Amino acid sequence: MRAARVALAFLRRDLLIEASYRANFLFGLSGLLLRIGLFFFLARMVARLAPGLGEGYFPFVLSGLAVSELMAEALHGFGRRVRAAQTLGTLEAVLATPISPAEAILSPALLPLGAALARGGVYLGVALLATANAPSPLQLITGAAAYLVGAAVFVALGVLSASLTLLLKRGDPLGAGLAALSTLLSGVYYPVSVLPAPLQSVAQWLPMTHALEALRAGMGAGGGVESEGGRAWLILSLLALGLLPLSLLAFAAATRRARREGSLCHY
Amino acid sequence: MTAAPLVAEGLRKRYRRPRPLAALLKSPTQPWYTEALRGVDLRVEASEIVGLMGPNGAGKSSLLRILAGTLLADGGAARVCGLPAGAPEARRAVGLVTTDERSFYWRLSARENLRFFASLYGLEANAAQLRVQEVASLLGLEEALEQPFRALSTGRRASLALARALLHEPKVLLLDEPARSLDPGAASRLRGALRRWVRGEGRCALYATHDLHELRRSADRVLLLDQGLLVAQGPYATIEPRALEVFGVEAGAL
Repeated sequence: MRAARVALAFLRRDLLIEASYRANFLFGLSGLLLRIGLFFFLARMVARLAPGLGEGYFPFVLSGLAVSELMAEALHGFGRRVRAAQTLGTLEAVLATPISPAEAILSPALLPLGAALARGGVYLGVALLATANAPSPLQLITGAAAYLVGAAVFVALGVLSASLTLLLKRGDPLGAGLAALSTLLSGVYYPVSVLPAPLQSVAQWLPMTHALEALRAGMGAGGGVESEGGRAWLILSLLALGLLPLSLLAFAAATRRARREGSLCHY
Repeated sequence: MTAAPLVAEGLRKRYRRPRPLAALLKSPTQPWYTEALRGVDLRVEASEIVGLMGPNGAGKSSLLRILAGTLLADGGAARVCGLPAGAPEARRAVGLVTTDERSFYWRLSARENLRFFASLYGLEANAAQLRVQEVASLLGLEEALEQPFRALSTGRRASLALARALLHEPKVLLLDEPARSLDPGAASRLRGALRRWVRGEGRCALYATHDLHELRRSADRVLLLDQGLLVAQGPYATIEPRALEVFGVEAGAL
């Protein structure tokens, strides 16, 4: 109950702050529509050049965007918010209250993560409309669940990255490296199978590869590429179960260290 | 005899001091840290307003932050209402007032800022609304409640910091230069509010300031810190000569 009250307080705070930037929502929405339009026409070109991949490219790339934008928000957002609170001076004021480090890091993410999930929902909705063979309800549920489990893994990685940010003040070593590698190798814009064999092996170590595989297997948006949804599911679930508690422990340790150093409001 | 709400024994704190490689090679034995507190004992009884004074860098803010739980001590122990300082329940018992204007959300109104922090202290929505109104009335902030924080005057911001600290009805109030930006009228209202508040059961306040006149008016007792050590304590009049010596001010110059 108390945790829900804290979460709602952060959500309300962030909604009020967002509402004070009135044009921001419109810019975000127009950016989303422009990206969908861009990839629609790109997909038409791909259909002409690669008839084998053909009609499947549009839903394939939209599912890639849904996951990669969610990953970007989770990987960079936690660290960015910790850094902003440090420089704005609000971090110390918030941590002077009785809330736990887990509440302090997770609650401010509700709005931005919710927005990223909603944007992803729009991409996936359009992708479903463009999928030639409509998936069954069970496939849809599996795909949605894969998306959420993938989100949990990215949240854990984002919290780990924020722990480093709290200690190092600058830089986002974990988030920046992982985001760049994932965008390149995980199959956001092209299937992993087009990569050279050594890079395909590297891709198997990236959570986004499995998140995309499980999602696409669920919604039939593989773009003609075979996917192993079951294996990807297992890997994602194990990662989420292992990384979430680990990341929260790491953030609590980082907060304790910052309290020891007196650096909660350093910049 | 009831336990004192605020007790510290042998508090020590030192900060790492980053040193360039050249300086490190030149004098490798020089300490790599700065001693902020070097074994401070204090006890603040219920209904007491205790002043904390000392030159810049004496350790006042470090002491207040350790008691508030936002800074961990390297040695010694501090207890708030019998609980280890920094524990969640101890933080619930503390109201911290800093002069750091950055600790508020500038795009939110004063009311929304207070509501947000009230929720973090565990107040339900309706209770938070009522409490915000109460503390605003107590500090003469009613007219400022709907204004964005960024539009408030410096004095109003300082009053809002005190309002935030009082929201959850803490037992211990820790104030770091609360009257620094206040005009004489606002400072007088703050003193009155503090005096009324501390009369509540089991409450006390520790009040750091450089303003000797303010301490003379507000504090029942004064602690004098110098270079991380508590060098004198007692009623203001009895420690004034030592305080002037520590500050390097000639008697009669004030």
